[in-house]
Amino acid sequence: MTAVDEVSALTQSIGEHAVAAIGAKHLSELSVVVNPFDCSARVVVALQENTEKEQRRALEKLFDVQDLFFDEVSMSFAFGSDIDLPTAHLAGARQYSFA
Amino acid sequence: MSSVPVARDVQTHLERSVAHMESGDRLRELGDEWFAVCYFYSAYHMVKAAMHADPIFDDIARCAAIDPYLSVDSRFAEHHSGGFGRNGRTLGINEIVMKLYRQIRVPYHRLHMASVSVRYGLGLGEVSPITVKSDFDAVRRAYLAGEIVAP
Repeated sequence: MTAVDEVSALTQSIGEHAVAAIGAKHLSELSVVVNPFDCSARVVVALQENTEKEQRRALEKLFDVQDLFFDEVSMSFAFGSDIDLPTAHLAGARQYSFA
Repeated sequence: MSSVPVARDVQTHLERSVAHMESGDRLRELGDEWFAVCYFYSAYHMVKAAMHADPIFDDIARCAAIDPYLSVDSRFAEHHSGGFGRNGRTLGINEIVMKLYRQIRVPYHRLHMASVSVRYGLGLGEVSPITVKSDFDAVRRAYLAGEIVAP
């Protein structure tokens, strides 16, 4: 995973899978940042309805996405609406945003 | 984490878990959000204690059947997240919990997220203090019931 277009494609794919898994209607924002240097991906999710039950459902869906990309990235999650993550400013990092 | 002596047995992990829980209880009574950090690390040591006792880590074939990257050495994982090194994929505690201990994976991960938010972010934010307490209770209940064991 070194070519820029591969990182961009991977970032886009993780983002699209995450949005589809959780459901667009349940999301206010979703951001994915992939760092190709340590093969990490950070997914930040802001839910339309930020309840314990909705968080639980979203996390279970994100675990499915994590499993899908397990061979390619080490994934971490956060709840929030920080669409402009500092990690996105790392050289080579790619960001997907849904809002 | 590797530069300090770490617990490597059930008893020591449980002692650290109780110490962190008691600190968390005191901080929660004071209304200090750092209770979430203490509760997460108490849960971390509970999971580590469970891993040390889990027979799956005595059986290479069972590990491989769950995940090709899971090995008997995974029992000694210390980092929260795994990564990719010269010898391939490594698993962190978060990934081991996700793969092996499904009944606590949501509360455990949310506790980790709360801990990260308090330490590096703007505070608990999206995860409520009530959820932090109930997540910690869920992990503790599962440990005390002997339920943190691979299927």
